[in-house]
Amino acid sequence: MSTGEWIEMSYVWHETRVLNCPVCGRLILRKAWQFDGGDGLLRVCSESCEELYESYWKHAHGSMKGQ
Amino acid sequence: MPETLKLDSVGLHVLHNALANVAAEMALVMMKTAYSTIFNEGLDFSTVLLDREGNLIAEKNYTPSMMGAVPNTVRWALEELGEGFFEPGDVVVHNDPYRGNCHMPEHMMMKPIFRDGELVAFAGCIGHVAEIGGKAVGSFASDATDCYQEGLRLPPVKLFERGRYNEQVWRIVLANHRTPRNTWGDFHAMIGALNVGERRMAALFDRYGRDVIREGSARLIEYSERRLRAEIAELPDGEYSAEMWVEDDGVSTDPFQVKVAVVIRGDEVIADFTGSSRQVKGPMNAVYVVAASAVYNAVFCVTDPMTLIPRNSGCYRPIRIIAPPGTVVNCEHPAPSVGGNTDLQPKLIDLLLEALAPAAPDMVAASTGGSSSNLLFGGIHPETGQFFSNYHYDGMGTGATLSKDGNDAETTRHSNCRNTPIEVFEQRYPLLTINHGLVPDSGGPGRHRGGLATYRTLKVTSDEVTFSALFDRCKIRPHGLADGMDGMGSEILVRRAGESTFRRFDEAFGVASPTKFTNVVLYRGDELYYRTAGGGGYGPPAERDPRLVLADVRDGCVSRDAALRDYGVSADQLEGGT
Amino acid sequence: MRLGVDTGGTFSDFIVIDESSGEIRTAKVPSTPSNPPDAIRAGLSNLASADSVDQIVVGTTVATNAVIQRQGPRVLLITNDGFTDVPFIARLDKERLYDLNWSRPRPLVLRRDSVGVRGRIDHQGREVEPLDHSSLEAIQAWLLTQAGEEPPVVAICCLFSYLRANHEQAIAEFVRSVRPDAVISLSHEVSPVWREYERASTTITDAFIKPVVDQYVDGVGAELRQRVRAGEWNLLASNGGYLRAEEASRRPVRLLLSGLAGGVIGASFFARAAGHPSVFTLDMGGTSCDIGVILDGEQQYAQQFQVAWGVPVSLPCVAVDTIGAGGGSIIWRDKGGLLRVGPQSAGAEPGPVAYGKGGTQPTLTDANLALGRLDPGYFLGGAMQVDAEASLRVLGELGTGLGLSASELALAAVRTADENMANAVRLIAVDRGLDQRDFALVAFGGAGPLHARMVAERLDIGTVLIPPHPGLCSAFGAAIAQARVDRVRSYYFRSDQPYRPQLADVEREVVDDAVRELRRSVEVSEPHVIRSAALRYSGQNYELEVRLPDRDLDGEGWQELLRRFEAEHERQYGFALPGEAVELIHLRATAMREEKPPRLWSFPAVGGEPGYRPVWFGDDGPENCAVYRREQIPAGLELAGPAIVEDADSTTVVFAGDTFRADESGVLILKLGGSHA
Repeated sequence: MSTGEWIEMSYVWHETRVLNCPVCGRLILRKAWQFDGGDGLLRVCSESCEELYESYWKHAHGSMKGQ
Repeated sequence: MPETLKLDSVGLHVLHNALANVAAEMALVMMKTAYSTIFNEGLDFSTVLLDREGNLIAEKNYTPSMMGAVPNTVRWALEELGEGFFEPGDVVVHNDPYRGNCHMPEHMMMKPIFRDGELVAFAGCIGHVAEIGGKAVGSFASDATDCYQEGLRLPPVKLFERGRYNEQVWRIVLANHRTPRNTWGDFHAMIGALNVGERRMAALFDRYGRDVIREGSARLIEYSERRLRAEIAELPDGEYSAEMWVEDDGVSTDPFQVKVAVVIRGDEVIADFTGSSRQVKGPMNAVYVVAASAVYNAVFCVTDPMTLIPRNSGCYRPIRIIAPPGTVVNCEHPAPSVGGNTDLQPKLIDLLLEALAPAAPDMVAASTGGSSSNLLFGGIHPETGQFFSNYHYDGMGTGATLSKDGNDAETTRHSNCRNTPIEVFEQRYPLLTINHGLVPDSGGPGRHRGGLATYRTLKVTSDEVTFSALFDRCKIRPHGLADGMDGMGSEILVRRAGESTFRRFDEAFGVASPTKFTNVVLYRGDELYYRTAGGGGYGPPAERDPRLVLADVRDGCVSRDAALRDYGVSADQLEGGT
Repeated sequence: MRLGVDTGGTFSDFIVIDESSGEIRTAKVPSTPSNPPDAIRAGLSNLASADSVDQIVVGTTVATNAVIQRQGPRVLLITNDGFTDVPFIARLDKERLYDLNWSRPRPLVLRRDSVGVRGRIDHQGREVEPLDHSSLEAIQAWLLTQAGEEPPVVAICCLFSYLRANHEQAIAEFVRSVRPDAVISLSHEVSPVWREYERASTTITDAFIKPVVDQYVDGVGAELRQRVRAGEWNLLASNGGYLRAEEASRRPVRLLLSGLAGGVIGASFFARAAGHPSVFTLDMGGTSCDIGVILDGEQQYAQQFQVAWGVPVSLPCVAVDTIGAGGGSIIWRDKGGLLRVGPQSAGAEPGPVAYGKGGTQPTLTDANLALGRLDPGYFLGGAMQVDAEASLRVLGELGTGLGLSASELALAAVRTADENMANAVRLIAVDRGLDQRDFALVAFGGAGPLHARMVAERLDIGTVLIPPHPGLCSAFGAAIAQARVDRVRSYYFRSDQPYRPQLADVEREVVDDAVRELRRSVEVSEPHVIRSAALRYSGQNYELEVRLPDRDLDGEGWQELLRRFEAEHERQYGFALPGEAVELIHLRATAMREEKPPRLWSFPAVGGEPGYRPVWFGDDGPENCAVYRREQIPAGLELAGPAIVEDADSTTVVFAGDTFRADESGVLILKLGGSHA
């Protein structure tokens, strides 16, 4: 049962940088999925990424340090 | 009055064919009207149809290298810009690798399709535009250290706004490409394809109605996902790992590493690249969609080799990719990436197939030559006084498999571009082809032999021609599988007019890498020779049927010495016996 | 009296046209690929007055079959030193992207038989290295030892030989000096067109099939000379023209895929006769569906075709696209539960389930039998017994898995096939820049008339034309073919260069070449010549075909040609680029003997009342439908659908709301009802 939520990312039209999901590497654009990764809050690209983190990433690489 | 289409096992197939046909029509238009050879001879482009959320519903994809982009790039642009950004008659373009293009020359265009004032779909296309500025002629800077040297980078911007040219953007683009006339032609070819897509989709909406198309597309996506999951479920669960070294990056001569763990669990696949090197200085970095293309490619080889599953977002969902940002498989701005698409991608595919070998031994192959063997050149043509530039590539050996030898002189796994005939090449460029053939002994020995590489020698027949090159698999050769041996490595050499021997480019010109350099000028009478890499062998060479070895010797694919040394077969003995 | 023969995979069709009486006689016999003259003999003995025929044209598959089955001699390829791998490198591309066990098709020559000689011509036709006769000695050894007793078969292909042929000619002379019995094909004669791989492939293929075609011409010629008055006989070529048989065997590569051309020519004749000069042709047989285009009465041509993937031939041919949809197309359910039709086919063996030859998978023919569209009692005019019950049963079994009854499944399968064919036609239209709605659809072959009406509806085409004897349209096309030669030569020139008189000289040579070749087949005092050129803007990759002005290609003629190109570019692509350099790529000449179009034949109707039987048209169940024999329908009378019209070799389906009538020309003209006026 996820306790995550979508959060709005700030976006201005003249921003040239992009942000990549720390778990899977996809782009995070206008909104991110934020959840507790076990070692802080993590912002990933989608709920499916949280599932990937919980079911695989965490076991393979340990908890990711969040904010 | 829309016609009834039941979305059952019959109607869904009919709808799929209708959508695929629209994408095919778009592709035809693009092919016939584009200027760049890479479009029409090379077929280096794709056309797509997407729903209003940017999910892929049909594609015509000639070039597998774009597979990672087609389900992601348009969707990301839509997310970033927001649905409200788009209006009828708009065309958006971008080539930003950090936003989902394979590398800078690839340009993605998208056109929103409206119905009764509401956004219902997108038509899109991706194509390689031959010249986009940057430090190297032909926009292939093998020693680029950042994206700015690679060419003009466009974030998503409108080329057309409400049906009218967005002239300011066009002016900037054309002023920054070396062959603006070509860009003009190619862009119009792509826009023409989008317009065809819009018209044909409108006809489909007329015919079946919006609801049916919306629901049918969703069902087709579910269908493809279900199909691929069923195929994946048939593979044995497990974690399959492999790692490789790549010899250099064009700027530094340090090799770098890629590691992958392919996890098959139930009906999904995870490709985890954690542990791969940090992104490198030169343009051998892959962006996310390139790593994704490689993964999709390898997975399809072992699950759907005959391409029976309709390609849409659904067939990409069961394949999950972990490409850590800042690594060589998902580089971050401003890391250069032009060679990541052409040269890291084929090696990633080889690596993934190697990893998957235990899971699907009859569907994988040993390494291919693993490089697009990129040779870019340009100059002024002595017969016309006009500027020319060309992106030249060649075939290489493919890896042997459990059941057969590799193929000779084939394009990389991620592309299907045809070569330029010599008679066309010499008409266009002031270069005389001295010879061009298959390289004997280049196939990795094995029970099944790797395929042969190609070689070519060119002589400059004008005052000067400027060359850039990005080759690979010179120092680290294509590997065999199951005790098969490595294929022969590549090389690229130069012989200055009046000299007697060919030398490596790092020796002759002091460039950092023997295979990756930018803007080297050669003069009349200078000769350039290259040899691509051969395919890896499969199985122990001692197990190869001696009659096959003899046939290889007779056909000049394997020399007598190599037959004895690698296979333990004495051709003389065998011939005496027969 | 004209005789046309079409040799198919299963059957050989014969048609004799008596131009004085208007009578047509036909015969259909099983093909005998292992000994072709047998089928010729059998067919002729079924035809009365075959002995009074004065023109014979035979469409044969012997050349195509030899290539597909790779039945032929070892060929020696002689090319430039350093380029002996051109046939093996090919174009680098692959037929399958993800099948790692796919093998590149082998060329028709072995690597050990590809030999290079020193010598080089460049892109301007200059000799940059003279032919080194000492390097010819390696060839001598091959000719004497490898070829042995049999006449050696040799293909010679040198770079840029279409600009300067002296090296190829010298090599041929040398070969003949060592082996006067050698069979030689020279690339500059076979196909003087650029792109060395395709030209080499064309030349090698020509050499490869020479022995089998020679044997065919001897065998069939002997058979014909015994039975028919005509001394000469002809073979149908891939460009839809005929060549005298002995002439054809001089360069047999012209015979490849000629069977496809016959159908288009026959269809073209009837389309014009029925008043529709622009049509798509749909020839649907047992395995495949061949689609052609006729624009304003003229066949469309392609400049290259593939006999099979990996065997390109760069010769002008009637443009036909083939898709895997035929009567034998298998109906199946894929792993995801979707209904599929084809492209696999049950062919003629085992064939549809109804044939009772062991077929277990339902095919389109089974579906049409189940729907009542085909009459099991009148299959092939009654010549063949088929079991429609078996069709229903197998369809029922497959239908269970899909939740459909046998009839529902049959209907769905037929619709799916119709969609596939319509999609293919649409792509062809787009490829050629045409709007298919401006066209009519001519359907023939065993299965074409069964599906044409629905295919037309999918394409918004309002008129369907069914020629008389639709199953024999290809033989008819052979019978009415004209003598025609197409020659093309690559010649590069640019509009931003000063005009040179050599351009006019080369162009004249191409015309002379074509006329000379025509005269080897027929006597003609004033050949009809069509001259054209392939041009494009510098930088583009596709050429446009432009007719040459009616004058020499001198300075003014060249300017006129450039003007015509711009106009054509504007017309096809919607824009021109005045001031941009234009490149000339090829020069083409077509030489034909103008012949009177064959007389229209009247087809007296026998009259009578139609039969009736239940036929499925839509989801609501079968309708009691009128069934006509073709010969019952008098010319001019308009009838309404729903209806079935049966020929001995094909069946036409007409839907409710449609109207149809038999035209004076014998063509059945079907006007779609509904929104198609």
